[in-house]
Amino acid sequence: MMNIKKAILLTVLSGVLLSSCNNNNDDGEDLPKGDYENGILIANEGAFSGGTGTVSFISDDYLTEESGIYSAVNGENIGTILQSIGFNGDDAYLVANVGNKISIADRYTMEKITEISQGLSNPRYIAFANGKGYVTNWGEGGDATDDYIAVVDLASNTISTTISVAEGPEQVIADGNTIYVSHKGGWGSGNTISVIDTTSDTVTSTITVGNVPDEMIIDNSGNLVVSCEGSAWSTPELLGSLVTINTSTNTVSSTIDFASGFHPGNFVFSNSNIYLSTSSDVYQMSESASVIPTSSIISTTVYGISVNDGKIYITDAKDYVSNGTLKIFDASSFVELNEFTVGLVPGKVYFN
Amino acid sequence: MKLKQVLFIVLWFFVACNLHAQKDSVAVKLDAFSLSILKVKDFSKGYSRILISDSLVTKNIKSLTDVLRFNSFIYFKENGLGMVSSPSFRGTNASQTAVIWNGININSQLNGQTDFNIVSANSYNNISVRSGGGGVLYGSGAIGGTVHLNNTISFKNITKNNLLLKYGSINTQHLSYDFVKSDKKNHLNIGLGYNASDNDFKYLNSNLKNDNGAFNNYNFDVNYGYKIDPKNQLKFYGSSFFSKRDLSRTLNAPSNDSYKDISLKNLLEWNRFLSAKENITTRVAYLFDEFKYYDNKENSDIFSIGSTKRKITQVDYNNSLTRKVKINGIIGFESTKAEGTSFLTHQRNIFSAVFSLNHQITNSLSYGLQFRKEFQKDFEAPFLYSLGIEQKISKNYTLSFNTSKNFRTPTFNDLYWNPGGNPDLKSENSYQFEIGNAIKFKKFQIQLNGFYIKSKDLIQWTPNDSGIWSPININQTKNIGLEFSTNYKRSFKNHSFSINANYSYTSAKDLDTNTQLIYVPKNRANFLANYNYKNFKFYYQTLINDKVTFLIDTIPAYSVSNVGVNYQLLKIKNKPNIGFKINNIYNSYYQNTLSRPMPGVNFQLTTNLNF
Repeated sequence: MMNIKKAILLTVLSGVLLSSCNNNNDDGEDLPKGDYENGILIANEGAFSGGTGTVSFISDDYLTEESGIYSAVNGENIGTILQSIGFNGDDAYLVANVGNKISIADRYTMEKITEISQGLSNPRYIAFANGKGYVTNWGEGGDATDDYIAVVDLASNTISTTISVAEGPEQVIADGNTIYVSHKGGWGSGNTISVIDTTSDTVTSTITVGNVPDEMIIDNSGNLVVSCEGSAWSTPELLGSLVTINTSTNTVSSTIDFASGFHPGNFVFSNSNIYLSTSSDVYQMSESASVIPTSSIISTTVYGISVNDGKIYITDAKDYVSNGTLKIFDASSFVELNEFTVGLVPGKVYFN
Repeated sequence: MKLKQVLFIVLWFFVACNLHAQKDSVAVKLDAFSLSILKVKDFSKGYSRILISDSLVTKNIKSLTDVLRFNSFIYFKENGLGMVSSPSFRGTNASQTAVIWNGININSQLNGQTDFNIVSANSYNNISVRSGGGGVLYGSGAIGGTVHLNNTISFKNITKNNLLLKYGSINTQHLSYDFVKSDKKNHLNIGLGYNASDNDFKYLNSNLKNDNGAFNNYNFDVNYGYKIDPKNQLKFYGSSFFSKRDLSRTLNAPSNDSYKDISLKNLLEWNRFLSAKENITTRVAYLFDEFKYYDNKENSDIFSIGSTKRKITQVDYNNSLTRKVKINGIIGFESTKAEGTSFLTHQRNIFSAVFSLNHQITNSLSYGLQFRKEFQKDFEAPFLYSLGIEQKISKNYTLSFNTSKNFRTPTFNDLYWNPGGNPDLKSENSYQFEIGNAIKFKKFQIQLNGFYIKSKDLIQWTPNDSGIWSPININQTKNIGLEFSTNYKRSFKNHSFSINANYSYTSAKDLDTNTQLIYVPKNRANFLANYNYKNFKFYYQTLINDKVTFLIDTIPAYSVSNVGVNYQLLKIKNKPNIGFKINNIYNSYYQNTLSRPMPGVNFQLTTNLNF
C-alpha cells in the first residue's frame, strides 16, 4: 500500500518543480543545455595498451566532479588515446588517435550523435572551416607518403575527400576559409606549415618555419604564431623557435629563437598573452614581446595547459599509470586555487 | 563458478570414488630428466616443481602458453590469443622468469623476456617448471622461477616416427612430425612443426571479431648425439623457429600491425667422463634472435627491427667427491651483440663463475649451496647465492627451507634505447625465503610452499625531466604467497583415474604505493582430471583466475574449462590416436589482458600416428 504522506509529498514536490520550470521560461532564461554546461571538460588520453580515452567534467563552481562522462552517458568507449576534442557549435568531435575513430556527441549532454570510423589513419586534431571539418592524419608514423587531411562533410559526418600533405600533420587551425596545418613530422621532425584553401580543398602554399612545429594560434593582430618545439633527443639537438606568419601574405614575418635546452611542449594564447610550458615550468609573455622570458610564472609538473577567463589550467599526468590531476591557478596572481583528480593521462582542457 | 561446472566436477569425483583398486599406474609417462634439470634438482633443495608430460603437451599443442596456463603456477599475460605472451611467477614480472633451453638461458637480450607464443610446443622431450630462486646458476632473471625446455639424447635402440595433425575452429591447424633413430652409438632426432590460425573469432558480448589476429609459425629441430667412446660423447642441439603474427585489435582500437620473429639456437656439447665420479662438459652455443615490427602490415617496406647474436662458451665440471658430497663448477663466457632500429650496435661480454655443492649429511638431512658471480665491464653484478636444506621427517613427509639472492641485469633496451635508454642502471636485486612441505604417498602427493620475495631497484620506465621516457631503478616490491599442488591417482582393471590441481595465493605489493602490482592475480587455480578406460581417455581441465588490475582498470576474474576425449584405434595398423577437444565449454567471456577478449566455445580434432 502506498504511503499517503509520500504520495502527497511527491505531488507537491513535482508541482514545485514544474512551476519552477515554468517560472524560468516565463523569465525568458535559457533552459539548461545539459548536465555538462557551465563547467570544464578534461580529455584524458587513457592507456595505450587496450585502454580508452575518457572525459572528466568539473563544474565552474567546483561542486560537481564526474569522471568518464562519455562512457557513462552512452554505454560505450571513446577508443584508445583521446588525442583531442574539436567543437563545431554544440557538437563535440572526440578524436581517438589509436582507436582511429571520431565520436561525435553533444558537448553539453555528451549524448552520442554518430561516429566516424572509416577513412581515418592515426587522426590527431580537427578544425572547422567553410562548413567542413579538417582532420589531420599521420598515417603510419614512419611513412612519409601516407599523410593526409581528411575532409569531413558535417551534414553526414563522413569523410568526403582527402588532401595529401607532407609528413606528420599535427595541429590544424582555421582562419576564415583558410586552414593551417603544422607538420610536426611523425616519428621524424618536420619544419613546415601547409596552407589549405577550403574552397578548393587544395594545398595552396607551404611555409618553412622552425623545427618541429606544433601548436598554432591567431593573435589579436590576425597573425599566425607557431610554436616550433625543436627536439632535445635528436643528435645534434634541434633548436626551437616561435615563428610569426603574416596571414595575408603567408610569409614568416618574425622569429624568436629558443635557447638550447628550451623545448616547450605546450603553447596557448589568452587575453593577449602567450603561455609556453615545459614539463616543469610555465612562462608567460605578451603577444608583442620579442624575447622569451627567463623566469617562469608557475613551477609545477605540466602535461597539458589551457588558459581561459583569468585562470590557468594545468594537467599533471603523474606516473602515467595512475589517475592524473588538474590544478587551477589564478592567471594574475599565479596562486593555486584548486586541485582535482581526473583521469589517466589528462591532456587538454575545454570550456563549456 | 557456474552450477553446471560444479556439477560436472562433482560428477567426476563421484566417478573417481567408485574406482576401488589399482592395478598399475596411470599412463602419464614422464621422460628422464636431462642434465640441466638434474643440476637444479641436485643443488637447489626444496623448490616446488611441476613436470609437463608429453601427453599434456599433446592435449594443448596450440601453444606452450596454453600448456603451462592450465598445468602450472605460471600466470600469462597473453595479448590476445596467439599474441605476445609473457609469463609471471609469484607476482614477479616476465623478465624475472628465466627460460632455460637445454641448460642455456634464452630470455631475450632486448627486453629480458621470453614470449611463450614464439616457443614451439612440440620441440621438447620434457618441459618442467620450477618456482622460486633456486635457478641461481642460470643467472639473470631467475627470480620468480625457471621454465626448462629439454631435449633428451640417449644411446638406446629406438626407432620412432610420430605424426600429429590437428584442426580446429577459426581455421587453426597444427602439423608436426617427430623422428627418432638411435642405437648404442648414435642418436638422431628430427622435428618439424607448423602452426597456423585465422584466429578471427567473434568476441562474445560484442559486435566485433578478432580482426588482424592471424598467425603462423614453423619450426625445425635437429638433435644429434654421437658416442665417440665410453668416455666421450658429442651432442648437438639445433632449433629454429619462424613466426609471423598480425597483432590483433582490442575492444577500443583496430589494428593493422604485424610481427615477424626468427629464433635460431645451436648448442654443441662434449661430455667427457674422467672417471666414474667425475665428468667435464664443454658447451659452445650460438643463438640468434630477430624481430621485425610492421606498423602497417600492408606496407612491408617500413618496419623496425632488432636482433641479437649470442656466443656462449661453458666448461662445466662435476665431481661426486664421496657418495654424499657432490660438487659442480662452471666457468662461462658470453658475448652478446645487439643491433636495432632503436639503438646503435652494442656488445656485452660477461664472464661468469658458478660453484655448487650438495651434501647429504644423513639419510634424512641434506643441503645444497650455489654461488654465482658475473664479471662485466662498467657494470657491477651482485654476488648470488642460494641455500636449500631438506629434512625428511618421515617416510612420507619432507620439510625444506631455502633462501637465495637473485638478480636481473638491465636489458639492451633498458640501457641503450634511443631516446631514453639509461646506461647508468643497476641490476634489479631480490632476496627470497621459502618453506616447503612435501607429502608423498604412492597414489597421492601434496606440495605446499610458502614464499617471501623482497625486490629492490626494480627498473621502471617513466618520463624524465625532458619528458622522454627513460628507465630508472625505483620500485621496491614485497611478494608473499602460497603455492599448493596435489595429485592423486587410482586405477582398477581397465580404469584409471588421476587428478592434478594447483592453487596459488599471491600478495605482491609495491612498497611505495602499498597496492597490488598490475597483472598479478591474488588467487589462481587450475585443475586437470584424467579418466582412462581401455582405449578411451577423457580429460577435463579448468583454470580459475582472480581479477587483476591494469593501471586504472580492473580485468574481472574468470574461469574457463576444456574437455576432451582421445580414442586409440587398436584395430588399425600402427594404432593411431584420434582426439576431440572442446575448449571453453561453458562459453565463458574472459579477458587475459585489457580489452582483449578470448574465444568462446571452440573445437579441435586431433590425429596422432606412431609408426
